[in-house]
Amino acid sequence: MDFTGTSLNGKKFGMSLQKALQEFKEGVVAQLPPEDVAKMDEATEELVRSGIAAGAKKAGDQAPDFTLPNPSGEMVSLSRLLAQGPVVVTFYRGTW
Amino acid sequence: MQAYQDILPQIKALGASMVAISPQTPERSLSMAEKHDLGFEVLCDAGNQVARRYGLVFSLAEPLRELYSKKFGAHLPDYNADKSYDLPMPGTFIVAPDGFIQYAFVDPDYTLRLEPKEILNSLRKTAGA
Repeated sequence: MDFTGTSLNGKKFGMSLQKALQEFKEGVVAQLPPEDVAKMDEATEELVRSGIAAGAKKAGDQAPDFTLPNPSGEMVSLSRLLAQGPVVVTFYRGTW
Repeated sequence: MQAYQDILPQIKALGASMVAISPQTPERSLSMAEKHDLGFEVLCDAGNQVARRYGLVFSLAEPLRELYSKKFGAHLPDYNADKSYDLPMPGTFIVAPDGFIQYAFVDPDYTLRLEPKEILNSLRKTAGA
Protein backbone atom coordinates (compact mmCIF):
# COMPACT_ATOMS: atom_id res chain seq x y z
CA MET A 1 0.00 0.00 0.00
CA ASP A 2 1.98 2.96 -1.20
CA PHE A 3 0.54 6.42 -1.01
CA THR A 4 2.59 9.42 -1.93
CA GLY A 5 3.50 11.41 1.11
CA THR A 6 2.04 8.92 3.56
CA SER A 7 4.89 6.48 3.90
CA LEU A 8 5.10 4.69 7.22
CA ASN A 9 8.83 4.30 6.81
CA GLY A 10 11.60 6.48 7.97
CA LYS A 11 11.75 9.23 10.47
CA LYS A 12 8.07 9.32 11.32
CA PHE A 13 8.74 6.77 14.03
CA GLY A 14 10.10 9.42 16.32
CA MET A 15 6.43 9.75 17.23
CA SER A 16 4.40 6.95 18.77
CA LEU A 17 3.37 4.14 16.45
CA GLN A 18 -0.29 4.93 17.05
CA LYS A 19 0.20 8.55 16.08
CA ALA A 20 2.11 7.58 12.95
CA LEU A 21 -0.65 5.15 12.00
CA GLN A 22 -3.30 7.78 12.63
CA GLU A 23 -1.50 10.20 10.33
CA PHE A 24 -1.05 7.47 7.77
CA LYS A 25 -4.77 6.70 7.90
CA GLU A 26 -5.68 10.36 7.51
CA GLY A 27 -3.35 10.58 4.50
CA VAL A 28 -5.02 7.53 2.93
CA VAL A 29 -8.51 8.78 3.70
CA ALA A 30 -7.75 12.16 2.14
CA GLN A 31 -7.10 10.40 -1.18
CA LEU A 32 -10.26 8.31 -1.19
CA PRO A 33 -13.81 9.35 -2.11
CA PRO A 34 -16.07 9.66 0.96
CA GLU A 35 -18.19 6.65 -0.08
CA ASP A 36 -15.10 4.43 0.04
CA VAL A 37 -14.15 5.77 3.45
CA ALA A 38 -17.68 5.05 4.64
CA LYS A 39 -17.41 1.48 3.36
CA MET A 40 -14.15 0.95 5.21
CA ASP A 41 -15.44 2.46 8.45
CA GLU A 42 -18.63 0.43 8.21
CA ALA A 43 -16.67 -2.81 7.73
CA THR A 44 -14.46 -2.06 10.72
CA GLU A 45 -17.48 -1.26 12.89
CA GLU A 46 -19.16 -4.45 11.77
CA LEU A 47 -16.08 -6.45 12.74
CA VAL A 48 -16.04 -4.79 16.16
CA ARG A 49 -19.77 -5.53 16.61
CA SER A 50 -19.27 -9.16 15.58
CA GLY A 51 -17.39 -9.71 18.83
CA ILE A 52 -14.60 -11.50 16.98
CA ALA A 53 -11.98 -10.07 19.34
CA ALA A 54 -13.55 -11.92 22.29
CA GLY A 55 -12.70 -15.23 20.62
CA ALA A 56 -9.01 -14.42 20.29
CA LYS A 57 -6.35 -15.84 22.57
CA LYS A 58 -5.82 -13.87 25.75
CA ALA A 59 -3.20 -13.41 28.42
CA GLY A 60 -3.13 -16.56 30.53
CA ASP A 61 -4.07 -18.86 27.63
CA GLN A 62 -1.68 -21.49 26.36
CA ALA A 63 -0.15 -20.22 23.11
CA PRO A 64 -0.94 -22.65 20.27
CA ASP A 65 2.36 -24.02 19.02
CA PHE A 66 3.16 -23.65 15.34
CA THR A 67 5.76 -24.59 12.78
CA LEU A 68 5.82 -22.35 9.71
CA PRO A 69 8.24 -21.74 6.84
CA ASN A 70 10.22 -18.55 6.47
CA PRO A 71 10.65 -17.19 2.93
CA SER A 72 13.71 -19.42 2.44
CA GLY A 73 11.60 -22.46 3.22
CA GLU A 74 13.22 -23.17 6.60
CA MET A 75 10.76 -24.30 9.24
CA VAL A 76 10.51 -22.18 12.38
CA SER A 77 8.63 -23.43 15.42
CA LEU A 78 7.37 -21.51 18.41
CA SER A 79 8.37 -24.23 20.86
CA ARG A 80 11.94 -24.17 19.61
CA LEU A 81 12.12 -20.38 19.93
CA LEU A 82 10.63 -20.57 23.44
CA ALA A 83 13.53 -22.78 24.50
CA GLN A 84 15.69 -19.66 24.07
CA GLY A 85 13.40 -17.21 25.91
CA PRO A 86 10.16 -15.24 25.52
CA VAL A 87 8.81 -14.76 21.99
CA VAL A 88 6.93 -11.81 20.54
CA VAL A 89 4.49 -13.16 17.95
CA THR A 90 2.86 -10.57 15.73
CA PHE A 91 0.23 -11.21 13.07
CA TYR A 92 -0.20 -8.83 10.15
CA ARG A 93 -2.34 -8.83 7.06
CA GLY A 94 0.08 -7.93 4.31
CA THR A 95 2.45 -5.55 2.65
CA TRP A 96 -0.13 -3.71 0.59
CA MET B 1 6.76 -3.51 11.02
CA GLN B 2 9.39 -0.83 10.89
CA ALA B 3 8.42 0.30 14.40
CA TYR B 4 8.96 -3.23 15.73
CA GLN B 5 12.19 -3.50 13.81
CA ASP B 6 13.41 -0.41 15.66
CA ILE B 7 13.01 -2.07 19.06
CA LEU B 8 14.42 -5.44 17.97
CA PRO B 9 17.83 -4.81 19.56
CA GLN B 10 16.09 -4.12 22.88
CA ILE B 11 13.88 -7.21 22.49
CA LYS B 12 17.00 -9.31 21.93
CA ALA B 13 18.82 -7.63 24.81
CA LEU B 14 15.98 -8.84 27.04
CA GLY B 15 16.65 -12.41 25.89
CA ALA B 16 13.55 -12.58 23.70
CA SER B 17 12.96 -13.12 20.01
CA MET B 18 10.32 -11.99 17.56
CA VAL B 19 8.46 -13.47 14.60
CA ALA B 20 5.90 -11.91 12.26
CA ILE B 21 3.22 -14.10 10.71
CA SER B 22 1.15 -13.32 7.62
CA PRO B 23 -1.04 -15.24 5.17
CA GLN B 24 0.91 -13.87 2.24
CA THR B 25 2.85 -15.98 -0.19
CA PRO B 26 6.56 -16.42 0.69
CA GLU B 27 7.47 -14.15 -2.25
CA ARG B 28 5.41 -11.30 -0.83
CA SER B 29 6.82 -11.84 2.64
CA LEU B 30 10.34 -11.86 1.29
CA SER B 31 9.79 -8.58 -0.51
CA MET B 32 8.55 -7.07 2.74
CA ALA B 33 11.50 -8.39 4.71
CA GLU B 34 13.82 -6.85 2.14
CA LYS B 35 11.90 -3.60 1.87
CA HIS B 36 12.14 -2.95 5.58
CA ASP B 37 15.43 -4.79 6.06
CA LEU B 38 13.76 -6.76 8.83
CA GLY B 39 15.93 -8.50 11.39
CA PHE B 40 13.19 -10.90 12.45
CA GLU B 41 11.60 -13.85 10.70
CA VAL B 42 8.52 -13.28 8.57
CA LEU B 43 6.66 -16.57 8.45
CA CYS B 44 4.18 -17.73 5.85
CA ASP B 45 0.89 -18.87 7.36
CA ALA B 46 -0.78 -20.28 4.25
CA GLY B 47 -4.53 -20.34 4.68
CA ASN B 48 -4.26 -18.44 7.99
CA GLN B 49 -4.13 -21.77 9.77
CA VAL B 50 -2.13 -20.49 12.73
CA ALA B 51 -3.96 -17.15 12.85
CA ARG B 52 -7.21 -19.12 13.03
CA ARG B 53 -5.97 -21.05 16.07
CA TYR B 54 -5.26 -17.70 17.71
CA GLY B 55 -8.84 -16.62 16.91
CA LEU B 56 -7.88 -13.80 14.56
CA VAL B 57 -9.31 -14.67 11.16
CA PHE B 58 -12.14 -12.94 9.35
CA SER B 59 -13.18 -12.68 5.73
CA LEU B 60 -12.87 -9.27 4.12
CA ALA B 61 -16.32 -7.66 3.82
CA GLU B 62 -17.81 -7.95 0.33
CA PRO B 63 -17.95 -4.19 -0.37
CA LEU B 64 -14.24 -3.85 0.38
CA ARG B 65 -12.98 -6.58 -1.93
CA GLU B 66 -13.30 -4.53 -5.08
CA LEU B 67 -12.24 -1.38 -3.26
CA TYR B 68 -8.98 -2.95 -2.10
CA SER B 69 -8.27 -4.29 -5.59
CA LYS B 70 -8.96 -1.03 -7.38
CA LYS B 71 -7.73 1.57 -4.92
CA PHE B 72 -4.89 -0.24 -3.19
CA GLY B 73 -3.89 -2.61 -5.98
CA ALA B 74 -4.45 -5.38 -3.45
CA HIS B 75 -6.43 -8.17 -5.04
CA LEU B 76 -6.19 -10.40 -1.99
CA PRO B 77 -6.39 -13.76 -3.74
CA ASP B 78 -3.14 -12.79 -5.49
CA TYR B 79 -1.42 -12.00 -2.21
CA ASN B 80 -2.79 -14.74 -0.03
CA ALA B 81 -1.19 -18.13 -0.36
CA ASP B 82 -4.64 -19.76 -0.25
CA LYS B 83 -6.26 -17.38 -2.82
CA SER B 84 -8.90 -16.33 -0.29
CA TYR B 85 -10.19 -13.03 1.06
CA ASP B 86 -9.43 -14.10 4.62
CA LEU B 87 -7.32 -11.81 6.78
CA PRO B 88 -5.99 -11.95 10.32
CA MET B 89 -6.89 -9.17 12.72
CA PRO B 90 -3.71 -7.46 13.79
CA GLY B 91 -2.60 -9.16 16.95
CA THR B 92 0.56 -9.25 19.02
CA PHE B 93 1.22 -11.87 21.68
CA ILE B 94 4.09 -12.12 24.10
CA VAL B 95 4.63 -15.76 24.91
CA ALA B 96 6.54 -16.69 28.07
CA PRO B 97 9.06 -19.55 27.94
CA ASP B 98 6.49 -21.84 29.64
CA GLY B 99 4.28 -21.49 26.54
CA PHE B 100 1.61 -19.34 28.15
CA ILE B 101 0.58 -15.98 26.75
CA GLN B 102 1.76 -13.28 29.03
CA TYR B 103 0.43 -10.30 27.10
CA ALA B 104 -2.11 -10.16 24.29
CA PHE B 105 -3.11 -7.25 22.12
CA VAL B 106 -5.87 -7.83 19.58
CA ASP B 107 -8.13 -5.26 17.99
CA PRO B 108 -10.50 -5.58 15.03
CA ASP B 109 -9.71 -1.98 14.09
CA TYR B 110 -6.79 -2.50 11.72
CA THR B 111 -5.47 0.98 12.44
CA LEU B 112 -4.67 0.11 16.06
CA ARG B 113 -1.45 -1.60 17.05
CA LEU B 114 0.39 -2.40 20.20
CA GLU B 115 2.89 0.32 20.97
CA PRO B 116 6.46 -0.99 20.80
CA LYS B 117 7.21 0.35 24.28
CA GLU B 118 4.41 -1.82 25.71
CA ILE B 119 6.19 -4.87 24.32
CA LEU B 120 9.38 -3.87 26.07
CA ASN B 121 7.57 -3.12 29.34
CA SER B 122 6.01 -6.56 29.33
CA LEU B 123 9.28 -8.30 28.49
CA ARG B 124 11.05 -6.44 31.28
CA LYS B 125 8.51 -7.83 33.74
CA THR B 126 9.31 -11.38 32.61
CA ALA B 127 13.01 -10.72 32.79
CA GLY B 128 12.44 -9.35 36.29
CA ALA B 129 14.39 -6.25 35.32
